[in-house]
Order: sequence, then C-alpha cells, then structure tokens
Amino acid sequence: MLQIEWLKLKKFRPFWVVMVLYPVCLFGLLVIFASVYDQASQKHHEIQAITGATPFTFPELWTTVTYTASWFHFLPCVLILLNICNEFEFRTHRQNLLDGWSRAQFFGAKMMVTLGITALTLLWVTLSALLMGVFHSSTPTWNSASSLLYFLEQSLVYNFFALAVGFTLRRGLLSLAFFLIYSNFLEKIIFWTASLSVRGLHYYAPLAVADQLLPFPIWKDAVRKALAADGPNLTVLHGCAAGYLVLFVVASWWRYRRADL
Amino acid sequence: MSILSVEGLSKRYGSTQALQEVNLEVPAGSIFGVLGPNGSGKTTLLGIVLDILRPTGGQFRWTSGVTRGALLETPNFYTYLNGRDNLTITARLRGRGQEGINAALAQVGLDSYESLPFQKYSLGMKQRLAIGATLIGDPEVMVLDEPTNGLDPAGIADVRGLIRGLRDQGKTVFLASHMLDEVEKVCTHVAILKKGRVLSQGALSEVLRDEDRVEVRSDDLNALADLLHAHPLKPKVERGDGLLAVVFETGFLNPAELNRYCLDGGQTLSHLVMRKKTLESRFLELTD
Repeated sequence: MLQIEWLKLKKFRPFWVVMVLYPVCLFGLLVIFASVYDQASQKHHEIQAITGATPFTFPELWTTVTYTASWFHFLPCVLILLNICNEFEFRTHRQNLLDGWSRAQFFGAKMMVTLGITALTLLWVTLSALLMGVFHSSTPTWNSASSLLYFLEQSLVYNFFALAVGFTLRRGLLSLAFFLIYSNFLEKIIFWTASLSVRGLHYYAPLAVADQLLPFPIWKDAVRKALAADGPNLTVLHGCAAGYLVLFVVASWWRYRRADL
Repeated sequence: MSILSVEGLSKRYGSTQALQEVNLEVPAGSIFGVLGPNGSGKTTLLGIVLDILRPTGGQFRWTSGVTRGALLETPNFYTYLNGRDNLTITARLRGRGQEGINAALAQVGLDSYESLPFQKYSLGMKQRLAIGATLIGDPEVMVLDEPTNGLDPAGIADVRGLIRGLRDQGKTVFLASHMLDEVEKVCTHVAILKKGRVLSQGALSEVLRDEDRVEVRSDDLNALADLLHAHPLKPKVERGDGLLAVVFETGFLNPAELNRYCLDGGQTLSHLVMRKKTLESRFLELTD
C-alpha cells in the first residue's frame, strides 16, 4: 500500500515543498534563536543564570528543538490534508476502489502516509538537534531525549486530527481553512468559553492536550509544575492524547466506511 | 450462469428514490446494456454494484473471485501524473506489474501521449485513458458507465469495436448508456430503466420482439386496407407514406401466408417488407 502511495506522492509538488520547507524553516529559526541567545548571553552573563540551563547545548537542546518544531506542525498537516482531500476532489479514491482496493485498504494507506510523514518530521527534528549540537560543540546525550517521544506523540495528535478533518470535510480549501482556524483560534474560543462553566476544561481540548506535552523549554519544570497544579499531570495528558488519537481514527473510519463515495 | 445477480436493490437520496426494487441477472459472457433517460438510476445502479454507493435496500452478488475493470461517470486520474504513471498505479492496485500497460496504451491510441500530464489531455483522451485502464490485468468483467462520452465518431467506433472484441473473447461487459444506437449495436442483453424502476429486461431480441410488423403496398391502398381489416387474425393496420403498416401479435405473422391472403383477395402486393422494431422505438414506447 505504501508503495502505491509513494507512486502518488513522489511527483506531487507540495510534498517536496513541505519536505524542504520544514527542515529549512526549523533549522533557520533555531540558528536565529541561538545567535540572538549567544549574543545576549555574552553581553549579559546573568541570562544563563536566569534561564537555568543553556538551551542550545545538550541535553536542553532536545527540548528547545522539539518545542520550536511544534510551531511547524501545520506544514505536515497541510500536506496530509492535501493528500487526502485531493483524492476526494479528483475522485481518484473512487478509482482506487474500482481498481481493486477495499475501503479499508484505502483508509489504511492514508493512515500509513500520515505515519510516514510523522516519522519524517521526527527525523528532521532529530537531525536538526544533532546539527545544532555540532555547531555549539555540544556532545549529544540521550538525557532529556524523551522530548523526542513527546514530540512524536504531539505530531501524531496533530497529524491524525488533520486526517480526521480531511476524511470528514473532503474539500481541500474548506479543510485547510477549518484546520488553520480551529488550531489557531476556534479550539481556544470553544474550550475557554466552556471552561467558564466547567473549570479547567480548556486543558483537555485535543490540540491543547498535545501542546502541553512540550512546554516552553526555559523553566519547563516550573511550567509543568504550575500546569499540573491547575490542570492535568503528564500521565493524564498521555492518556488524553492516546484517547484523541483513537477517536480521530475511529471517527474517520466510521464515516468513510458508511459513506457514499 | 449469472455473473452478477441483483435482488431488490433500492437507493434513496433524501426524498428522491433513485432505485426501486431493481432485480437483474447479468449472464456470463453477455454484453449487458442498462438503458435509461438521464436521472433514471443507471449510474446509481453501477455505483452500488461497484461498492461505491451504499444501497438502502436489497443486495447484489458477483460470482466469487471474478476480476473487474470499471469506469464510473468521469475518468478519474491524478492530474499531475502522466498517462503511464496513472496506469502504473492502476496496475499496482490490481496487483500487476508493468506488463499490460503498453498494450492498454496502444489499444486506446495513447501510446504517443503516455508522457503527457493527465491535466493536458483532451476530454476524448481522458476517456480513452479510462477505458485503457479498465483493460489492465485482463479482467473478466468490464463495467462501463457511458463509455463513449466525449469521444469523436472514430473514437465511438473504436469503443464499439473494443466491446465486440471483448465479447468475442468471452468477457462480460456491463454498460450503462443513454445512446440507444450504441447499445443496440453491441449489446446482447438490455435492461430499460425509468425513474429507478426496471421496465423491461432480457435478451435484446426478446425486449424488442413484442409485435410483428410488416409494410405492404398495392395499387389500391384503400381496398388493401379493407382486406387486411378483414383478416381473421385482426392485425392493426396503420397508414403510412404510400404504404400500410400491418402489426400482428408476436409470433403470428407469416409473410408468405399474408401475401397469399392478399392475392386471394384480389390485391397484388408491390411491396412487402418485415420491419423489426428499433430499440429506440421500444425505449420511447416504454419510457414515454
């Protein structure tokens, strides 16, 4: 299945645009941040003492890179949406079924693409961290590399949310608009409003759950502690993230399995 | 033996009943045409038996393990890929390799355009590619929805030849069309649909044969008409352009006997031609 999806993707221009843009944006931003931080800390030596660690050397570098990468989730999500919605808009998903695939195979293939794109972003993030470490003459250590796992979990929530949006709305432009509006504004508006009635509900919104997995790298322990005092602890966050992942997959499949195509 | 059995198939879109209790048997090796005006439910029927649409009632059954090639409504391909790349995906979806792609491209006359992106194909070329795609893997059954859409007369003749070739190879073709002439020329069996209901179905000759019609002429048409009205089988006599159309119940017309009857009655026939009802007239009769 993945081989057939590769035949579709390898000449799909947006795939290569995202595959180039993602590491370039991520690494470029990291270089800018590191340069600003280095200049500032050379002038003001107390900065390092305030931040509590050097964010551009290992092990803190893992956290810095994964947190920065979390700002670019929209790029793989856009790719996933295009990959799914184009099939619906050009009716090629129908042709895939006419040519021999079952609905389960088509859905499974899109899940595999989503997993593959997630794996590629994880690879870019890991390589970016290692490269930044080389620039800062910092020897890589797996201490704090758990951030990579949290990043993976966060990416899966975002990417499978995009998959669910694609299979539900089917129209490319509509799906993109919904995804961007929801992830940037709508979720916050809905859950913050709802939390006026149910205290702390905004912590449990799908993308908010994913976002809390990677807190701001500087003072992250303090941030986590503060969040845990009012909202969910890390174990609950993992549970919610897993729950949302299952929900996105099951809801998408349920709709696709029963729909007229 | 039926390759496809459809029992009581129904489909409703909101308040619109697209199919109502459709029953069909598609014999193996037949060229089965589903005819009907626009909106009669042809594409819905094909969509359901191809598992693209979900029926609201009834069921269908394909012979176990039968391989299918299908074209439903419009040609659907990846616009940014060329013809060959698109057919490669089709072949892989059917569990095949590159074999058969060259033959399919040649058969539909697109071998010189295989590297052109699909989005640059003309409507006719897109339709040809879609038909070529159905041939990949040499399926036993072809399901074709309006296969001549967008084709020029030469293309239509090619598709007709292709379907006849498939029939000669013993393949089954299940096609939907509103082009009666096309269906009459290639089909062995037909089903006529109107507003989601099957009005008539069976072998083409059976669907067409519900009356025997003959055209006759003599020097005195009035006298001939009177003589025919007096015929013991009570045929229907219609005046045409300088001749009479005589319609007997199916199976009761014997041209030699009719000729002798007229001669015995004093009318020498200068014209006697058997007329088979065309699919078009039968279709209009059923659907009007």
